[in-house]
Amino acid sequence: MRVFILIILLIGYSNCFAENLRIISLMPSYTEIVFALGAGQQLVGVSNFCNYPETALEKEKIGDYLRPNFEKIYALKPDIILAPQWKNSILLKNLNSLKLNITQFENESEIDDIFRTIAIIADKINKKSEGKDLIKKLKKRLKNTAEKKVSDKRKPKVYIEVDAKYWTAGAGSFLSDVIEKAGGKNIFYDIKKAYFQTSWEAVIERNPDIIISLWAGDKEYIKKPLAQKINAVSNSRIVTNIDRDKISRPALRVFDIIEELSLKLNENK
Amino acid sequence: MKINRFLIALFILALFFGLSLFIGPTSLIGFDILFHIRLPRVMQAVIVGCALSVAGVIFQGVLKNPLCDPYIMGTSSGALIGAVLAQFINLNQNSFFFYILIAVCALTATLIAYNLAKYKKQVSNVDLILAGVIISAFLSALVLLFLSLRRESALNIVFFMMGGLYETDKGLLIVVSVLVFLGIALSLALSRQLDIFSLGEEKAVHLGINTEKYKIIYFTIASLITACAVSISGTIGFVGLVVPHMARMLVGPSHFKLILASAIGGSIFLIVADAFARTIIAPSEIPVGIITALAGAPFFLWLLLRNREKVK
Amino acid sequence: MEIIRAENIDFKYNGAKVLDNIGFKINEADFLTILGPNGSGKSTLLKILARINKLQSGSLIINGRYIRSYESYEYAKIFSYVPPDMHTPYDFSVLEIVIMGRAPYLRWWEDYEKEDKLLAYEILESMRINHLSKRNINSLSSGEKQLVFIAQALIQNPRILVLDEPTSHLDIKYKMEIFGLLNEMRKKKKITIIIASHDINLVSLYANKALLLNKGKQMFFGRAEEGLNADNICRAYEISDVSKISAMFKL
Repeated sequence: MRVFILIILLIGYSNCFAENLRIISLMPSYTEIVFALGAGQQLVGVSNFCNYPETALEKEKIGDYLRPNFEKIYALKPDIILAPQWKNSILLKNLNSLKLNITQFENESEIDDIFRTIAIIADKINKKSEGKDLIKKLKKRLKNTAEKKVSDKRKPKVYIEVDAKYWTAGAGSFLSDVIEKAGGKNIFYDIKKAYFQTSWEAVIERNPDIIISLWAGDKEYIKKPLAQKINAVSNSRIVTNIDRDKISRPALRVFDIIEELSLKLNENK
Repeated sequence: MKINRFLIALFILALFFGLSLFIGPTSLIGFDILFHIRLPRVMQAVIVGCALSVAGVIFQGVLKNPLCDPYIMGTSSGALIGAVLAQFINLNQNSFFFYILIAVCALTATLIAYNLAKYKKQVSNVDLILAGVIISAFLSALVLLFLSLRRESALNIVFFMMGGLYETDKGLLIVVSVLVFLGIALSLALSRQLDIFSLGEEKAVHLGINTEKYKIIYFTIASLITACAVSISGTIGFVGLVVPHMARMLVGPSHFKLILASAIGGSIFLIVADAFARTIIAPSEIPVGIITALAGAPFFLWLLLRNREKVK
Repeated sequence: MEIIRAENIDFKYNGAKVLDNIGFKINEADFLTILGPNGSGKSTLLKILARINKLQSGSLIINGRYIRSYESYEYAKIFSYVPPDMHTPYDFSVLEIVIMGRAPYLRWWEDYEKEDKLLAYEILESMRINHLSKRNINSLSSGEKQLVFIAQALIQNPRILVLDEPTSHLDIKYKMEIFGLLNEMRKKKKITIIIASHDINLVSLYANKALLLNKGKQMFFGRAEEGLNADNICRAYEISDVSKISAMFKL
C-alpha cells in the first residue's frame, strides 16, 4: 500500500515537473501544434511570425528561425527549444554553446510529415497521449476526404499560383501534397522541384480544371490571352479566397483547407 | 551603301524575330499561341533590347565613358525601390499602377542624382557618375534593409532584379513601344551633337553647343526609355553595356549609325537570350537577366583581350 | 582694327585670386604670345576668352561686342580654341573629327552637307595631312593628332584662334610645322592668333605681341620685341641668372 502511494506521488510529482516545462517555438507551425496539444500556457517564447491562435500574439517574441535573439532565448530559461533544420550550422553552434536543449525537425514536405512532427513534440513535452489522439483524429479526417477520391485519370487537374509572375509549386512541395490529399492532381506533377516560375503558355498546354490562386483574384486570369482555352477559366473554377497561412503551414489548419478544397474539387460530380 | 547595310541588319532582325515566334516552352503551335502569347513576348524583347542599348549609347557618349550602362544614374536602384514600395502596399504586380510606380521611382532616382551633381547650374561628368553611384548605393541598401526585415518578399524582389519578359498586356506594350520609339527617333535627330559630346564637354562648348541644355535633353531621353524598359521587365543587365560596344566594333563611333546598330543589336541579343530563357528548363523559366549576364560577361572579357592584341 | 580689348580682368577660383587686373588690346591678324610659369594664370585667361570660364569682373570686348553678349553658336563662328591634349576615347576618323567643327553653322536638325565635307578636305590639304583623312584618330602620332584638332578649329572659320600649349609635347618637326601654319593663317586669312607656349625661341620668331604673367599679375604687355628680352622673361619666370637666359635663347 505504501509503495502504491509512493508510486502515485512520484507520478504526480513528475507530472508536476512536466507541467512546468518551459517551451520556446521558433516556427509558427510548431506553435500551433503546441497549442493544439493543450500546452499553450507552457510556451514562454515564440517567433515573430507566430500569429495563431490569437493568444500566441501575446507571447514573448524572440525573433525568427533565421535570426533568433540568443540573449532573449537564454533569459527565458527554456527547457525545450523547437527549431527547424538549419542549413547554417552556426546558429546551432551558438544555441548549443548556451547549453540549451534543442529539438530539430526536418522540414515537412508532405502532409504525413506533420504527424511525425506532432509525435515528436508530444513526446518532448510529455503530452504523449494527447499527441496520439490528435494524430488519430487528423488521420481519420484525411481518410474521410480520401474516400471521395477517384482514379487518377478522372482527378481534376489543378494549377496553383503562389505569387505573381507565374510562381507555382512542383511535385516536391508541400502545397502539391495538399492538392493530392484533397483529391486533385497538380498539373506540374512531373516537376520534382519545390517552387519555380513557369509560363502562361505551359499552363495553357496543361489545361488545368481548377486554378488556385494565393495572391490574386479571378479577374487576373480571365483577362489573360487565350484564357478561355483553359477549362478552369471557361468553367469559372478559380479558387481565390484561401488563407495563405492556413494552406502553407504544416500544422492543423491545413486539414481544414484539405476538406474545403476536396469539396470544391468534387463540385461537378 | 549605307542604306544597304542597314536593310540587311533589319532583315536579320526580322529573321530572328520570326524564328523566335516558333520557339517556346511547349509543343503548342497555332496562330493563337503565336499571336497572343509568343508575339507580345518577342515584341517585348525588341522594345526592351532597343531601349536599353540606345540608353547605353547615349550615356556612354554624353559622359564620355565607355563603361557607362543605362543604370548609371541610379535608375535600377530607383526601380527596385519602386518594387519594394509595391510590396509594402501590396500592389498587384500586374496592375497598371505597378508599372507607373516603377517608372516614376526610377525617374525620380535619376532626377535626384542629377540634382546632386549640379553645382551652380553646371554638371560635370565625374560628378554625375559619382552622384549616380551614391544614389545607387543608398537605395540598394534600403532595398536590402527591406529584404532583411521582410524575408517573404525576398524572392519576388530578387527576381524583379534579375529581370524577365512576362508581360502580356498588349495595350501596355503599345504605349511603351511608342515612348521608346519616340525616344530613339529624337536621339537619332540629335546624334550629330552626341558625336561632339563624346569628344568632351569642353570641346562641345568650344563648338558653340549649349551643353547644359543638351545634357538635360539626352539624360531625359535615356532615363525615360530606361524607365520604360525597367518598368515592364525588371532590371535586365549587360544589354545596355555590351551591345553599344558590339555595335561600335561593327559600325564605328559615329552616333547616328551607332544608335541604329545598337537598337537592332540589342533587339536581337534579347530575342535570342529570351528564347533560351524560356526553353532551357521548360516548363520552368530562367529570368532573362541571368542569361544576358552569363553571355555578357564572357563577351566583355573577349572584348578586353581583343583590345589588348590590337594594341600590340 | 581692334579685335580684342581686355580691361581690369580679375578671376577668383575657390576664393583665391588667379588673375589680377589683366588688360591688353589686340588688333586683327596680331600674333600674341602669352608667357609665364605654370600656375601663372595663362590657361585661366585663355579659358575666359574661350568662355569655358565665366568672366567674373572686368570687361572683355571681342570683335566689337561684349563677350557675354554672344550666343554660343555665334561666338563659335568667330572664335576657336585648341586645347593642349585632346583625349579621344572613341575611334573617330580624322575626317569625322574635322567636320565636327562645322557645328556652329548647322541648326540642330541639320546634318553635314557636301560643302562641309569638301571644306574639310580643303583644309586638310592646305595643312598637307590629306592622306590621313580616313585614319583612326587614335592611330596617329601626337603631332598628327594636334594638327587634326587645329584643322577642326580652322574649319570653324574663326577670326580668332587660340591655342594652349599646342607644341609642348611635340618634336621639332611638328613644332615648326604648327608655328609655320599659324603664321600662314595669320598672313593669308588675317586670323588673330593667341598662343600660350613655353617655346620661347619659336614664339619670338613669330609673335608680334607678348603678354607676360606671373602669379596672376601682368608683368608686361606690348610689342614682342620689347617684351621678349632676357630681363622681362627672367622677371616673369623668376629666374635669377639673366645672362644664361640671354645666351640660351639668343635674346
